[in-house]
Amino acid sequence: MISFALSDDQELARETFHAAARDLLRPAGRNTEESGSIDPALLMQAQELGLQHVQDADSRDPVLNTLVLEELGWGDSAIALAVTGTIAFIQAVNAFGTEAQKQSVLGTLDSSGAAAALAIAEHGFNFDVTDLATTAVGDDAGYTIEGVKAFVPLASQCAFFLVFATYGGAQQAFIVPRDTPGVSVEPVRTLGLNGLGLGHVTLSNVRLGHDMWLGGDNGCDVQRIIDSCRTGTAAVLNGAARAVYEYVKDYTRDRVAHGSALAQKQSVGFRLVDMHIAVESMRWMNWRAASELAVGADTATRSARLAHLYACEQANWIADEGVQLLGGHGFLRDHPVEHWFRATRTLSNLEGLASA
Amino acid sequence: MVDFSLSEADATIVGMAHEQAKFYRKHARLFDRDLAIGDPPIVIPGEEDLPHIRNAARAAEEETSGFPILDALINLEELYGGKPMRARGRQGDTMNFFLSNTLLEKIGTQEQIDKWNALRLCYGLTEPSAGSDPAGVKTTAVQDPETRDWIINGEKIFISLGEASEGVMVLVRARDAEGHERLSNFIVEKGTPGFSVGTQHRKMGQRSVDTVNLIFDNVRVPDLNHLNGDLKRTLSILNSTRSLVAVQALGFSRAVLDFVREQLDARGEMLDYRSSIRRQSAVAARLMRLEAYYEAAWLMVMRAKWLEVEQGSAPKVEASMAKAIGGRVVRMVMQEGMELLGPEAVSTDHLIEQVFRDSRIVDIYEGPGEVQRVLLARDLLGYSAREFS
Repeated sequence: MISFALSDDQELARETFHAAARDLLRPAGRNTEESGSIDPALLMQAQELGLQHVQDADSRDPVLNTLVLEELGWGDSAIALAVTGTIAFIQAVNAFGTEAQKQSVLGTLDSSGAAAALAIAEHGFNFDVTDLATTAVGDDAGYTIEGVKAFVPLASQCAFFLVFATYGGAQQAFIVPRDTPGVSVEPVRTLGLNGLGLGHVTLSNVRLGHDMWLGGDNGCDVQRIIDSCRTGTAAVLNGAARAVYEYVKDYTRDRVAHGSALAQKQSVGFRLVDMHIAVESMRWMNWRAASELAVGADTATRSARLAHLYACEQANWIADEGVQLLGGHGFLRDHPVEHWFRATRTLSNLEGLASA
Repeated sequence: MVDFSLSEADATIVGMAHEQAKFYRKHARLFDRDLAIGDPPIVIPGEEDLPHIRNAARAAEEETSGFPILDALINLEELYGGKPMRARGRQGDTMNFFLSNTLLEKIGTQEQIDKWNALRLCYGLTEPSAGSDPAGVKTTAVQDPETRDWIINGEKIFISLGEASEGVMVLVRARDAEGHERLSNFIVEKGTPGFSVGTQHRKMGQRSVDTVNLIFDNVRVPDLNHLNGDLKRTLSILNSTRSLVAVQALGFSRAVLDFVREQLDARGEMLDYRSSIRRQSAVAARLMRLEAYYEAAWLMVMRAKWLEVEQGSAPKVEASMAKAIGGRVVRMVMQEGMELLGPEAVSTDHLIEQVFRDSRIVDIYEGPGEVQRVLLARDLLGYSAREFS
């Protein structure tokens, strides 16, 4: 039955996280980017809102998660990703882990408050999630992982990585504790999202026990994790794009040139309209993918891919136009738009940073 | 609950419409020719035996997503199948072309409704020099102070179903006996002296669709024919039809997207939604992008229609947005679809050649994309008509 109606819980989550985005994330966005790190107190405050704790198989609600990610992304995408980063890992373990994996890994995370992340992307200009250079080889004692995972969020704070690797000709995921011998982390500077603590994780002859293959003896359908990530990423982009649209709308309404406000000129007003249409349609694409993920529909892979494709294109177009419509001010770091422009492009190029 | 899947009843109805679309598609070329005034309607053998799908949708409404949504989904299938847009009577199994009757019910007095509602009324808005800006309407109605009758003079253009209808609701600049002037609607029945139908327009596509000029040469009508609705109420009727025109964009687009997809499948090139652009052929990547735009437009239409179900009336902003994105997407799909298919696609042996022409009007009629953006800019940016034009 076709419906866009949100439940009370979903509405409440949207309001709560919008307030957090407005009061906590937005004011801290610029400093986080410039300093390259997030104030731990802010991170703690945002985590107290409790989103992490509703990610088990029974209470996880992908539609609600996209609402929250949009709001947080509207506040600041780097901080949004830091706040929710560990969630992608928790969701994957909850969805596909064995009982033992859930208890030990999630239990450790819960008590330590440490971060955990998906490690999907790799170096090289031909990267694709269906063709991973990182390998896992099995033997009697367990698995040996070899490779380098790139642009892993919160890398230096992670207690666990969920490493995506080629195993037996297919993609599989392995839980790798940070302190396993052979694991090293190296921070990296990027175009945007510098507050997120992205890092490269090198896995050199990393030995894992049998119990570290996500899902146990049969592994799991990692495509579902990718689908969730694409949807989550699209939701953050949705929020970031909305932030640009709103900022530029206000700016062009105030800014007078050649006798009238910029926004009153068709070439500007029309672009603002198209930005708004893009922001709205992105959201429905994300809701659709999320609603299909929620019921485990086969179509979710397609919907998530299309939502991601669409959100990347639209959000980057909006951010790009945002810079343009501010004129010279768009190039200055005094306005947030150049920061959002870089963050949006960065997020669009990466994999596994957010999950619905 | 947020859900974009069809209910069982929705799927049944849409499935019926899809079957019917396949029937119409076999005859689509029949309608790719000009009709002149007085030509008999084109008959499709077997058409009279088809089930009335909208009535089926109404009968099952409780188990469906709501009639406005189903009406849109049925219409999408109809356009997908190239079902001709003909006058089929007000109870016909077709998109409601007779929006004048809907408007009459909204703004007419009971006497007026009783008198004309049984007639099929086309709507006369556009003029040779005034289309999307009704303020430019030059057709006049001047009241005779003696008889209180009105004398109408002027010309309307691009009037859908102008020949098939039994009368017109026409928007004119009316000056009453006291000298007050405002835009008003009048009913003019066929056969009224001075009221005539021009020739059928010769169009690039949708060739057999009844589209004419209407000429008013000293047409005298009684005061009863003057409707009390102002321009704002008149134009509000367009909110529900705008999103239906966006549905046409979807139907045409899907016909081409499916066709391109079939050609890719035939040469063993599957769209792989798992991988990135770095693992796709250019054609597959382009098609996937078009699919994304199609889905975005589909969702914007569904959003407008869902609000119509929820609120009981069509939303203004969402309908305009649906029309704006639909019009953009259908043009994109047609041009890129043609490009992806290469030389063979231009042949009249294939449906895409016709759809390419038929669909080009979608971003123009019922308010071009530019007009939607003007209206939306006013709403979204908080400007008056004077501040944003």
